[in-house]
Amino acid sequence: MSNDCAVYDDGVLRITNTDDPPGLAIAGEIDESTYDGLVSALGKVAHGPAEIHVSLGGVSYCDLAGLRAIVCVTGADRGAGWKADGDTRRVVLHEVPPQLATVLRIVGWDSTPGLAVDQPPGSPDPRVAGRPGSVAW
Amino acid sequence: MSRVEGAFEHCACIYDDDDQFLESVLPFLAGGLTLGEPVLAVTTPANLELLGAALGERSADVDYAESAFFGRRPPRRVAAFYRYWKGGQDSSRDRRVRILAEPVWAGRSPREITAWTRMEAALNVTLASTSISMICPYDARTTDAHILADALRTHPAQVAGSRRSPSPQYADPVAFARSCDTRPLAQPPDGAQTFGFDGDLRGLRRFIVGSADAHGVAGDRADMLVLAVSEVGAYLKSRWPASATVRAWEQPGAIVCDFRQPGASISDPFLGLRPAGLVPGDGDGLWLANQICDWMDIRSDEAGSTIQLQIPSSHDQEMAAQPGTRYPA
Repeated sequence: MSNDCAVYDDGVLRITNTDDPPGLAIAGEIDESTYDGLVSALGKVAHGPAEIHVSLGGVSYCDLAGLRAIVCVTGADRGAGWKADGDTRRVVLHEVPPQLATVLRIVGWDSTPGLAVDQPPGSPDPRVAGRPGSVAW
Repeated sequence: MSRVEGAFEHCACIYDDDDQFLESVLPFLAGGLTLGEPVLAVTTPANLELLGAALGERSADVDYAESAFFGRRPPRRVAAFYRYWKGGQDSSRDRRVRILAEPVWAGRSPREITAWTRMEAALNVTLASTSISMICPYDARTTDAHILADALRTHPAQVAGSRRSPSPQYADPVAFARSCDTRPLAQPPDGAQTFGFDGDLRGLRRFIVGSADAHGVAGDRADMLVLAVSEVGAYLKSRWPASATVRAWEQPGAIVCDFRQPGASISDPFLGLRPAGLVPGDGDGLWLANQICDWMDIRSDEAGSTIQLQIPSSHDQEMAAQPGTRYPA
């Protein structure tokens, strides 16, 4: 990640542009007080390249609404909701904190069309393998 | 593309022996397979064996789960049903999904029996827009009479053999759920940690981190507790001028976090049970808190509302026995 340029910074949440790969690096806390800043920054990249990389390594807290806003950069919320309509943007999440990976799994957003979660090398896949009926939680 | 609204079918099946069980549920499952519908059987290990033998080669097309492990708590069970249904849909059309869902009753506490019975009523509302056909078997040999009686109040229909009929005892789900919410909540003990929540969510999160730490709860478990507590705070703040008293304490096996919001009035008994999706819905944050916690109880009176969360404490060995398992396991 290079050329750090803050597109949003209110002292609680800081969002910077990244060039390589193109996208955003997010650090700090995401809740209703910083939600508008997050959505504004995401809105700018949502009209950019077809593939967006979002680094969440610096996120110490993110509520459900904030996580939804990030996931919805894929466009999967438009029209048929969860259903792939062939018009989704690819969003790659990097350095996802464990609790956010858990939330993605609980809500089922980890299987959102267009969303990819970059797993660090050697990390176990937290998902229960197998058919839908075998999901146990 | 039209969504099948109000298509959820929820049918109780009270059976006395293995033959009755098979007579009632086998045509249901086999019929789904014939139509190419996703079919899920969640029942006891004994019944899974019966079904496997009766279905023969076709059993390979059925998704199976043991009741005890398919959603350990009612909110997770609702979410698991919803997720199975979602997974069975494709972009071109809505597909009917068949689910056999036998609850576990043996060994449950009265509080748990109430929660699982309440869930049966809640399914009629929270899954109303799904195209799920569900039969819930109840084993009359091992299930208390009052649980069987409630099954007829929480299911609009019943099935016996090939006969399906409306349940005359079916009760309005909202009224039924409210009648379940009579157990007094735990009272904060002297010495409970206290925080005055005025809308400062960051302050609330710092409070619960400190409280969790004081009770030996750290790491992933503490992170998830913080998430649940902050979502409850955000919900209250979004609807009422935040002036909640938050108390946290430890009771055997659990950390309890209690929000008391004067002036609030929460009347929807299914708040926090409707699965969250990419389209925002009322109470999504409470739904997440309900998924994370072992218990989330909501009560309202003339003076205000109370939301009480319980999450396993550091004495929980289920997670400790499985290093690397992330909450909720």
